[in-house]
Amino acid sequence: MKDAFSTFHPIVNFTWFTAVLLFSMYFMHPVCLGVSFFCAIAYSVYLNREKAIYFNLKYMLPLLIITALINPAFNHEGGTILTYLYDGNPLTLESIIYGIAAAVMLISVICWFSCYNVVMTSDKFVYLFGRVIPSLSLVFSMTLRFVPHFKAQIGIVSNAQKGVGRDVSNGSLMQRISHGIRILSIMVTWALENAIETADSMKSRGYGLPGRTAFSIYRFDKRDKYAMIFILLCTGYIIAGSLSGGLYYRYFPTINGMGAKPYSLSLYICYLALCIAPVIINIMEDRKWKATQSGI
Amino acid sequence: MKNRMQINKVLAVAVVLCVLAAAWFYGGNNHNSDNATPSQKPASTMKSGEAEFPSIKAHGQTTEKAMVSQAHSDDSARTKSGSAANQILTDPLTPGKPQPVEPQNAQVTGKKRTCTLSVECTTILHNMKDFNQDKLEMLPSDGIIFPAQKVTFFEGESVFNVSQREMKKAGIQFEFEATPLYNSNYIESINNIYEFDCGELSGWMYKVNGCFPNYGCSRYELKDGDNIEWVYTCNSGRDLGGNYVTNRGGV
Repeated sequence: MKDAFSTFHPIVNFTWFTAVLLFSMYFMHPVCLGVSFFCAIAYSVYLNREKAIYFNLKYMLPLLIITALINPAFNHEGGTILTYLYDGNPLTLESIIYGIAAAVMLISVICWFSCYNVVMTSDKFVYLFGRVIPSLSLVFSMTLRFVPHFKAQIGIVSNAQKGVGRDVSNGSLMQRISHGIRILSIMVTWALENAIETADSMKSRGYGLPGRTAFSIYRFDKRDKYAMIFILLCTGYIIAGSLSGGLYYRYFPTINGMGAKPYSLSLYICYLALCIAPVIINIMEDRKWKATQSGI
Repeated sequence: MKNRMQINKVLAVAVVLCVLAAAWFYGGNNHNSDNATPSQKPASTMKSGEAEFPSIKAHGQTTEKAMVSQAHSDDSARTKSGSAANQILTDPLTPGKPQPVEPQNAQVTGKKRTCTLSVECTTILHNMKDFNQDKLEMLPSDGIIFPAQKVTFFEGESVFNVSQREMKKAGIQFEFEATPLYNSNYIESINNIYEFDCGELSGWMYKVNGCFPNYGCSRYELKDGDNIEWVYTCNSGRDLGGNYVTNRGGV
């Protein structure tokens, strides 16, 4: 079950992610939030399977609850007063709903980024931007790679230290702390050195020089063309709709906004089509794969 | 090894205790302090530049411990009150008007008194182009949110206490924020009309008996028969005639 959307041309992947991430951050309309949330969860579960379910339940659910609870504690705006807080400020229905909406938006953006990390690998990113902004794209791909790389290296260093009896699991509390600090110091040194080495290595290969060409196996074929047209059409329609107020929604002072008018409905459907596209593509590919298998 | 662990534990406990003690000491004289604790700050720490700002909204004024009603003129209050505790840097007082009473020193008795309270925002009606369009449904057509009426309060209560209670009774949204710098609550919103909802210089101000006190509403101790008016300004009080300059001229 390989992700079929990842096999599309990087420009298609990148355009889609940019559009979806920006829309997710910008649209506070509850239908848009719901669509984005549902699609983000669906795609991240498709990509990472059990790991994503586990991650979402363990980290995202508490984050959602905390974010939703924090808002009414500090925000007392809204026309519907439910009760009064201990300090005398009102607790309003609008602030609670806004808190939930903001929490859902936060979670869906984090989920989209977890998908982005799987689909937009650093080679794709460097392929897209290596020519236009060489140093920035190198820095960007190194930054994105930093955390997983650091985690892997910390395991190696920690094991080596364990071999000489100086791991965080050895000794008294103070000794453990000092071992931990030592490991951290090793890691910082390594990270700085590694960054310089990577930069030097790329420089010695002529990265970013004018005449240099890059090997790539990406081809912009018919399938990519159709996908690109679809993404651009959807994006254009949604942006136009949002500019003309079709996705208007406000939480304060009273909740009010676009409901189920035909024009708004068409925008919701368009947004859903855009967000769910990779999952649909994947399901279709899986079906094709199964069909060819059963034929043999 | 065991011994060392024990020492570490004792050390850790000591550190935690130190932090807690410091926090208590620091936070202790903020709101719960009684008459004995207000910190004695010399007047020399005051910056003279602070006095120049026009009075924007409901923040509070200077000087003097509770109940000390010395009728300083505004400028001498800044310079001479070296021995007075709890200096709060705000605009000068209007001469001959009541002095602020720190809310932590206020003594609320059970004696019932009455005052008049009103809330209005008619200035917005003249500045509709600046007004936040989302809030239109919150704006009464005549600009009067709470028509002037007699309300009951208890002796020793501040403008803030009575306003908050009456707004709560009337079901009008009322948001405030404690501001330790001015030792007062700052009123952000009444009836969902917030500060900055009608231009960058807009917000709520209060008048007592037709005069802007120039200090926070938690520090204004009410007297029987006072007339409290909450008014919305769209231009730092200039549209209300409550400018710092006009106030100083003796309203």
